[in-house]
Amino acid sequence: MLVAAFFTTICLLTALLLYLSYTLFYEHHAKNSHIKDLYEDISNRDQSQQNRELQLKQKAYHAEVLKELSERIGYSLDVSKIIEVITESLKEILEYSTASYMIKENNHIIFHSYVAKSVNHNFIKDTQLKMLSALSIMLNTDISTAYIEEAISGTILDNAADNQVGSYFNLPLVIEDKILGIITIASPSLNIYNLERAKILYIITQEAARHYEKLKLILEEERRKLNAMVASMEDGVIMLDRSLRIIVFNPSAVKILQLTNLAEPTIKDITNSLQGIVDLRTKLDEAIRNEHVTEQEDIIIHNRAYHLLITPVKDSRNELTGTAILLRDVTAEKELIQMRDEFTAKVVHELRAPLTTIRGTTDMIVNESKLTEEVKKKLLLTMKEDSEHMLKLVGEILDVAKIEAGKFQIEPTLGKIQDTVDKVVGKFSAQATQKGISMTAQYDPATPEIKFDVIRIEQVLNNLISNAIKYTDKGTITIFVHPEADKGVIIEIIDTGAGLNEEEVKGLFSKFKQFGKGKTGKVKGTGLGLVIAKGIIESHLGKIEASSKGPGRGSTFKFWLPLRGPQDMKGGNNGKNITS
Amino acid sequence: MTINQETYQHLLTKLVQEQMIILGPSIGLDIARQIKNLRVDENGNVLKILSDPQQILNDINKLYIEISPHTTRNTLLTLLTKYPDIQKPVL
Repeated sequence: MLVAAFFTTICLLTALLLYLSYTLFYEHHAKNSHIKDLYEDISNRDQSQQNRELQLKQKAYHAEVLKELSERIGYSLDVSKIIEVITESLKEILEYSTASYMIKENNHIIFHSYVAKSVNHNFIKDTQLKMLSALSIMLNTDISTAYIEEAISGTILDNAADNQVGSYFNLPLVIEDKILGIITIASPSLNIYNLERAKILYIITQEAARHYEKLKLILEEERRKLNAMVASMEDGVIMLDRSLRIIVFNPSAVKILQLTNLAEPTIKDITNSLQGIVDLRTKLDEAIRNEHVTEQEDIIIHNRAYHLLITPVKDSRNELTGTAILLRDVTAEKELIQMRDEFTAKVVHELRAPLTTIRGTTDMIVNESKLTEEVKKKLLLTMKEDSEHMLKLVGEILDVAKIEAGKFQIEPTLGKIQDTVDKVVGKFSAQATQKGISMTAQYDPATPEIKFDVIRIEQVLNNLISNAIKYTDKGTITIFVHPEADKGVIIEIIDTGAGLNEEEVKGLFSKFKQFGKGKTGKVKGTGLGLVIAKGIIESHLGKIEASSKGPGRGSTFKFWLPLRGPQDMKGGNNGKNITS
Repeated sequence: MTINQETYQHLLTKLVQEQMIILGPSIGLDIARQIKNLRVDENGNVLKILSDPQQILNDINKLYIEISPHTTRNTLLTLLTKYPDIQKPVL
């Protein structure tokens, strides 16, 4: 009985134990399964969340790098700058220890490694070898033995560190279908780079290359325009790089230095051509050393005067990139200064001569008591003549000054120009006849009335006709007045007199060249008549010109007055500057 | 003339291995492994081509070009000189 009870108890306990075990196992299993599902769910959600975060991060990085590329690269075609922008911004999206670049130059390789986290020297060497292998395949040439110009920046290398390249990837750098180099990102950690994470960098590298290509095209176009501009300049322009190699040598510079026989002149050719004139090398050194413009005025090269300017050229970082030499032809300016000085001297002389006569005559009248009334009258008449000459001279100089200052005033009224011509021709006819000159005026009946300043145009005609008589010994003087289709009236004074050569025609309307010439001959004057005539005609918005077939073959002076006078025109012409 | 599978396998192995050097092992391999019917080991050896090999070549070339156009064109053109019977993919 006891045995049966014991057995029953054991069975019950076993059943209970089995039940409990089953329940426990089932619950544990169920619990585990639920946790696994839950974990997978969270893990999937994490994964997709991470992917979204990565994508967002990559998009932000993409935009940031492109912005930085355009801001930092600007207009510089420096490939290393592009690489720097890419490598410096990497830490935003990737974990790495070194970001290196290798560029193939003509005779050597440039290798630069930026160390973000300390690695040993072998790590750098290993990276370098991997880059050389990649570049050799890309270039289809073995470059493993090429000279390498190495630079390492960033964190100091730690040779005690036990690390080697665990993961790396390369970004080939190709611009204009030309392999320039490679960027390599490396880390001692294993398997940390994959396509998903690195793809953005390949896209950015390609975009940077396209940016560079576009920029290069723009800069080449700008350079072409600049070269065309420099080539067309009258000043001689020579541009040198830092090694004094010639970059620009415009046609004017070639002409000035007379180096036409050299296809590619060097700085030595230029310094030799200026030997004994200016020490160009010293001037260049001075400009570079002092970093400011060096000048030398009035250097004479092949009988012409030049102003030499040497300017150091700097880039946007204020670093010297070369030197610009400018040769400005100042011969005309120098001639003008000389003419101005001569003009002043002549004016002083012209005023002093009659003043001296007046003073002498006055002294004589005052001190010589024995002078008869008749002699005194004669002396006083001489003084009157001299003072009138001085007044005329001062008046003409004042007229020229007003014309040049744009303050010359005219008072045009509507009238017939023929009447004024008639008046002047009549005034000079006796003088012409006396010299055996036949002077006639011919008028086209269609000549319209025009607006002109009668007194001033009479002054012009006085000058032109008196000049024609002065320089004609026998022969004819013909004055033609005719309209020019709806534009105005032309007045031509044609003589058969002394004529002029080309050089004389050119200087006719220049105050510097004409002043004092009127002194010679029987008709006295300052020689400024033509300068004033030009000013008067131009104040009427007309034009005056002279021509001659040559010495001894007569001259023609022709001026045109428009139908619409200056007061009919917007703004008038009273402020016009007349150059000499 | 039919080109045997082995020739393609050889060419594709060369291509993948060169890209693993140019782009780095992980990126070069990741791209090759994106091709469905291509089996590639860790060293870039093409173990099996499970569909039209020319199509595989075209597809893998397209993926590499997306990442690095110029270098892919160059390396493939150089490689193809040794396989004159294989049709050149669109480069």
